Amino acid sequence: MTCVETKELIPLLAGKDLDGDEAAGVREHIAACPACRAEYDGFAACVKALAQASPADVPESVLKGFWDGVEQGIARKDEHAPAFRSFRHIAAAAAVLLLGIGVGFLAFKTFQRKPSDAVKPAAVEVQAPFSTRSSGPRIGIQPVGNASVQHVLPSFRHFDQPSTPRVIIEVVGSRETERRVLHAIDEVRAVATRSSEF
Amino acid sequence: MQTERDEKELLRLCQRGDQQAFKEIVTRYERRACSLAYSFVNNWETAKDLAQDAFVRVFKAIHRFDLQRNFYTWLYQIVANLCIDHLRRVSGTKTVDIDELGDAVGGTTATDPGGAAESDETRVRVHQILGQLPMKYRSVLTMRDIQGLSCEEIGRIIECNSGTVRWRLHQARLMFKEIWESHSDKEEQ
Repeated sequence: MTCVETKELIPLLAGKDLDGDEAAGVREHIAACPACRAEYDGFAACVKALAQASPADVPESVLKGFWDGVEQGIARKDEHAPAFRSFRHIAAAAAVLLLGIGVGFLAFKTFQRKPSDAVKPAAVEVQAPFSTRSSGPRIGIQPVGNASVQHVLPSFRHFDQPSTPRVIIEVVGSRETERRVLHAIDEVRAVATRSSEF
Repeated sequence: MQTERDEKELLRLCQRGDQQAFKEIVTRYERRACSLAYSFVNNWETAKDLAQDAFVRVFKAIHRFDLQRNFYTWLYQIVANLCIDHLRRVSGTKTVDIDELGDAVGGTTATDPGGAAESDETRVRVHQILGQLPMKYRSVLTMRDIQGLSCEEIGRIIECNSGTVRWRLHQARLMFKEIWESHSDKEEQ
């Protein structure tokens, strides 16, 4: 083992932190090398001084009232604990509340019908080719699907044919519903037309 | 073996919140805890405060303690970490209290005045030098060379492997020796 290698390991040997072949190698080297021996002695003196810095005995004055201090410390922490716990509980409750509001808002936004699908009244004019003064066929309007027929109002506004009665139907429902209602109205109109032809 | 079994029983009682059992644990370990803290901070009042704080923390966390583990190792870890934190906070301030040494070793002064005085001087000097070392080196040197813990035990406390501990020890002893010898040279001049 060279001096350089030995000097690297001397601090550990001095503190008995080296064993096996490494320790044997360093010991062998320092036995034959005065410079490394002196280096080792310097470290050994430091380790010895450090060991002496350990307190011999704890003074009785330090131990006097030791438990009382610990007990007070435990009590102090207990005093703070409930406040801390309630703060934590309040914080947790607030977090849950906020989370609930957030989830509710998201759910509301998700399940809310989009404007395109939203219920909207659609005014459908049905021009019935029969006279209101006659006792011609009646137009029966039934709700279709989810639609609700809000108004079935006979209108006597005159357009190209003053005597032609008109029925204004307001349908509430989605576009699909509206389409189905219109289809139904077309069928009714066809029936009405056929009836008036009789 | 009997003591160990008793200790486990006491610790089990502590886990159920039995303060009387905890008082017994404190009585058993208060000396060692104070001594350990003192070897870090070199001040009995501070050492006592830190040791008491460590026991308060132990009591608060005792329900989580694994009874298969060694209690003293756990306590040691808490005391050592509190001391290291304390030293970090006060780093740069005076850590050697020469005035209190008379009280601390008062018992030995009467029987061996010369030896005690030399020992006091060495202790003061050691702590002065330790105070100049970076904390990671100071703590391993304190635990290994003053407290006599193994590298593995130190590794568990500071959460490093023993190789890292040995490397820090190596560096710490190099630094310590350099300052120690420079002090000696000044004294000789």
